[in-house]
Amino acid sequence: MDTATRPSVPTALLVAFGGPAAAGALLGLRAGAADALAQAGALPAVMAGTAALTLPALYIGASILGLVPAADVMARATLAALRATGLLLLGLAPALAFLIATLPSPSVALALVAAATAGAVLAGLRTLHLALSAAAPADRPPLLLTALLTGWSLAALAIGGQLFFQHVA
Amino acid sequence: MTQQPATATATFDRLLRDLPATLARIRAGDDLAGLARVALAVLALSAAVFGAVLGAHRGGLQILYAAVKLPLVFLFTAALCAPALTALNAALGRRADLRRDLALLLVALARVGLVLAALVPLVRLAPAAGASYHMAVLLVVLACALAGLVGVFTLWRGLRLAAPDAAGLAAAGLLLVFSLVGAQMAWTLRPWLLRPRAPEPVFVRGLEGNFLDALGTTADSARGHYVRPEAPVPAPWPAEGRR
Repeated sequence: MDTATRPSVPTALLVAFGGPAAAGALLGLRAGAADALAQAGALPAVMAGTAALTLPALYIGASILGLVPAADVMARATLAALRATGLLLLGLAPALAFLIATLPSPSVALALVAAATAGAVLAGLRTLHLALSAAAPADRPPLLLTALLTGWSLAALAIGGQLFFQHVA
Repeated sequence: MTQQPATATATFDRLLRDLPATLARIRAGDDLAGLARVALAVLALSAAVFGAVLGAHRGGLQILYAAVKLPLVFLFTAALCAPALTALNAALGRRADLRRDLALLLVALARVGLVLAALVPLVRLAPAAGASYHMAVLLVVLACALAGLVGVFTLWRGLRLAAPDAAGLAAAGLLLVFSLVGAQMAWTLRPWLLRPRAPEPVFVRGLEGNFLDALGTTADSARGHYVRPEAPVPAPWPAEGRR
């Protein structure tokens, strides 16, 4: 994405956390406005917490292996990944709202939001992989970055999943 | 020389017989409003015809109800899923344009509607061939699945033409969302054929259960395995206790 079409940092952050907030609010809507508000804060907090807990490890690992040239590249790639995740959740929000409103079981609603969040996170991880691959030095084997990202992604998904079921579900 | 916009008849003809030209028009963004109008009209008309045939299983007012409701199922589903397609495209780093995505979705649905219209004689003849209510329901689900395959193919080709990168992922993602929303939308706006025991047609029944549970029950009933001694009489919408 070139500079002309790249969204500003505040806009990207708004999308990145607006998507999870919308999905969280939909999950809590059946229980009332207060619950919706709480869930709208909980899901973005889980995303931010997972990113804060796991991204330093990725940056350190990638730097030691010589895969990321500078911190700002890593920051841009992370922001693009979070934006992709938020954007997908925002796009899925109308469909989720309809399904949650018409399906009688709250556990189905939770499963739908969990599945949508997982899908959006996977899209974000793909964006992160593409952005870091594009910035990686040409003399490093591409498989090294893929292996590092796969291992890191599994750990991040496990931590994020645990936080999701502790604080959102 | 400036290019004249295609007439509605020519657009319809291309929609039916020349898919690559229609998809190229979407990619170029050439008179998308005209294309969307034709696709919308084709979808509304063909879905209304198929809906009327479903309602004819019971007859009377149910013909009108089903003819009005089936186009709404498609249109509401498209309205809920178009933002998902644009978001999927954006998240996968593809070109994301809500107008083009909506046009592609409408074209795919119009072709679904045309296949359903082509299957009308088969569905209409099923009761005459001795098909029970449950067999008729399964036949309708099968017809919709067949028409859905045509829609998926159209969508996949359109997404590939727009940008080959991650087209399969975008199509698979949308298919998942569309199947869930479409099936639940059809379930929410039921009845379509109306149970033989139902006393009189209702426009919409109360909210209960979901599409997949009902499909399993219908498949069992079609094989003569009933989970209840007799079918319940449906309550009109809004159901008691949900007002």
